[in-house]
Amino acid sequence: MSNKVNKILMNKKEQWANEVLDSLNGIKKASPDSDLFNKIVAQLPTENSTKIIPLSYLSWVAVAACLIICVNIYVFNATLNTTKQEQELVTTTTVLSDYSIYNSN
Amino acid sequence: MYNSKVYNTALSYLHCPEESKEITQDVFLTIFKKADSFKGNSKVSTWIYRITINKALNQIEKYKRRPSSDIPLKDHYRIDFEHPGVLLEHKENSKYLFAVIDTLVETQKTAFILSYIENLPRQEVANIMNTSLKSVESLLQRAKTNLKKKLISIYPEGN
Repeated sequence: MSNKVNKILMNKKEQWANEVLDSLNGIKKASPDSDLFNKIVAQLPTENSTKIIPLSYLSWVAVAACLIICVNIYVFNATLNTTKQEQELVTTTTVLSDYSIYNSN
Repeated sequence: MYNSKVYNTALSYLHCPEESKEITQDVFLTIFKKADSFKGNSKVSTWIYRITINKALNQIEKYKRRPSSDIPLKDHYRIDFEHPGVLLEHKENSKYLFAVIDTLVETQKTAFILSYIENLPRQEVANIMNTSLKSVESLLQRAKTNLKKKLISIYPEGN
């Protein structure tokens, strides 16, 4: 007798479980409030436009720029000096050959 | 277009409209930031669903880490969530279903939510989960068996 009652109860439980499992039939998508989309759009540009550059990064950039400028000035001066010396050498050689005392003949 | 897909998926995991809205905002900001890194290997919707699922699961992980939630989820069921899209005649039963969906393992839960709440085709579910069609079918089968067992265990007397 008790077995029969248990079986009936089990069947009832199973039937209920199946009904619960079927409760999603015909479900529709839940939509958020219309203002959510506006909120998201309002957040987009601000998120993108504010970029924070760390101060240490900036100081490294400044040091690198100074180094490049110094090296350039040094190289420019060195080139200028070499050109001047070469020009002086050429002038001296020309003067010497023009005012030669002894004729080779 | 993707607004309700993202929100509905988040709501199915979190059962809380406010948190689902936050997740929706977060998902769209992530899409905006990472749009350049999207390689186009999958559909845009697949990519968006993946981001949504990851964010929702991370949020659930955060709850679990909260010291206030000492009671293990599997030992108690919160039969209070009413999905706004459920038909009126199924509202009461669906509360029990959402309570037990919460106790499924992640993979079974994702397969079930995407297939039966989002109503996505099985192949798309497989793509989102980065697995095969057969695996999804097997996950759904196991999810249904587990759900049925758990529902029988919480059968409300007097029904």
